[in-house]
Amino acid sequence: MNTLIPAQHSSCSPRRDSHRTPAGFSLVELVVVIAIITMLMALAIPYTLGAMQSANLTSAGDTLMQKLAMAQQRSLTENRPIGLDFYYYTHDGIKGCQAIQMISWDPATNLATQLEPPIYWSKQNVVIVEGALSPMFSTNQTATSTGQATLNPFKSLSATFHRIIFYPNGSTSLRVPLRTAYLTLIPTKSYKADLAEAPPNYYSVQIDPVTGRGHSYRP
Amino acid sequence: MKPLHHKQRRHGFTLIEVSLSMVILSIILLISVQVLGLTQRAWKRGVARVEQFREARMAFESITENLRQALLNTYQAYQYNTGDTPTIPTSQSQSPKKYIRQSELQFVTGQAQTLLPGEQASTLVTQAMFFQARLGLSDRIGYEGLNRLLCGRGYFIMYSNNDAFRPQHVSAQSSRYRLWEYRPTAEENTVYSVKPGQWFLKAPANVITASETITTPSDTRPIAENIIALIISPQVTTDDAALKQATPWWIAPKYAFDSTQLVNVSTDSPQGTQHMLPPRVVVTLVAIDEASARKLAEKYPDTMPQLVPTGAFTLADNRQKDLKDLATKLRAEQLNYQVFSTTINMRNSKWGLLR
Repeated sequence: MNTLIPAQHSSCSPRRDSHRTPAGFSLVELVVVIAIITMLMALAIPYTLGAMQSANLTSAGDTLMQKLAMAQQRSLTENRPIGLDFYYYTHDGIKGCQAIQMISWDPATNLATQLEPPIYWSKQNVVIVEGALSPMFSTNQTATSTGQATLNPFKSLSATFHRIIFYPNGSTSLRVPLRTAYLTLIPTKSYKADLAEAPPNYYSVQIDPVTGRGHSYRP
Repeated sequence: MKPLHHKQRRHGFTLIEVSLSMVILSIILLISVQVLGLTQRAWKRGVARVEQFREARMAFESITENLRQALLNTYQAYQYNTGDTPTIPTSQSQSPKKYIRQSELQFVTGQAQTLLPGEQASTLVTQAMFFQARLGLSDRIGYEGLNRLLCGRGYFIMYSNNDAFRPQHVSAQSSRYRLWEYRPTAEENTVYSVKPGQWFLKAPANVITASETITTPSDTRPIAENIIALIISPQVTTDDAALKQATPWWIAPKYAFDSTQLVNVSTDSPQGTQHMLPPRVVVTLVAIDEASARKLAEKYPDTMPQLVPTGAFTLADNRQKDLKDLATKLRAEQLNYQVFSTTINMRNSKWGLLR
């Protein structure tokens, strides 16, 4: 031991005295650090993306719930039928409801007037799927509640629409029993044609055809 | 010679330095993880709160809006007899005794289990209320314009599962306390053809079934989930109470008020509060959030959790105390709750007639 210590001192002291600037990182060090950072990022990104996706789905679903409540409230206070139009077209290879818009509906002329700018689900990377997960519009549709879009911008996209009308007494234009009166929002990442099983994350919105009450179901 | 090759070699960290820095790092990590966890929990709770209580708030608004329109259409009639039909003479020559207040409609509040003594009584909690109002509800085609048709309406809380109406892909069954709305259409209103108290008896049995069709929609529908208490207290104005030197809830000291009953009789008002709408109704709703409800369901699987203490909300005198006790109980169970309460001035109450 005693012999080692002086040896170390002797090897170090000349360099200290010379006041040389310490060398920068070596290539190996840099490569290792970059590799570690990449690895950490690779580990973190899927989680972050998943969390962002889920946050998008939640906020989109909340928006839908809010618009449903607002349409019902407006119909009550303005004492006229207020509707929500669900526009179905293909966007980026994804088929389903891509946008909704609040309208006022005149029962005498069957004319709709846009009340608010549309909300596009694709902006939040979600979509209301068709088929087994959203049976609300699949039966008992009447001429007034579905058809080709007549208002732009959806007319130019050759979209079809389904319409829910809220009446001032609280009832709706839906003609289905409560157990099938729901729509499901899913992240576009989980989209598949003719999806029959629910993806791991979804936001289902049930609308009582009689009372117009909205209720959400999450996994 | 070796040291010359390793000119750039410096001291490494000592073991103590490394372990010290690791300790510090782990402390920082520990703290940040805890802070993150706390933030996440608070965030989740906040979101659940907003989401859940929006439904309760909307249900509360619809109750108050409809209750405000309750009416009895009270009129003055000749009294010939006593009993169920005092305004019908027994013979053509009988002369009337006096004028009385009369109405065929009914406004009734009280303990849900007393008002609805059916099979479902054990799943009902706190109070229920049934009344008549011009809500203009009709299933008949061509009646859309008749938006002031007389309809029955009622509210009560029942604990049940959602097998009959939850979406197919939602696998988790949820047994919850739900606020139910009894809303028969105008053509189903039997208030004129049955004895008082009979027209709403089927309300808990007429809930949504799995075979519901659109041509025969159920009359009783869920309007909010996780509502654990509905407290209805008919009251008079504070001025009236002061004048009478009584509490504002003297007309319904046990929360029970039935407009068809001959009660609260005194010498200067021989008909008491019969066929009168209370001038004010205090409606209180206690809601918990879905996260709390899930926790409860895990804690009490297969049984109905008893959240409202037994004997609570039976005396209007103890209303504030009972509410406080319920809040204490909910806090002890670590449940998120919100209390909605408001005083409704009944538009069609003609209480001035009593004074």
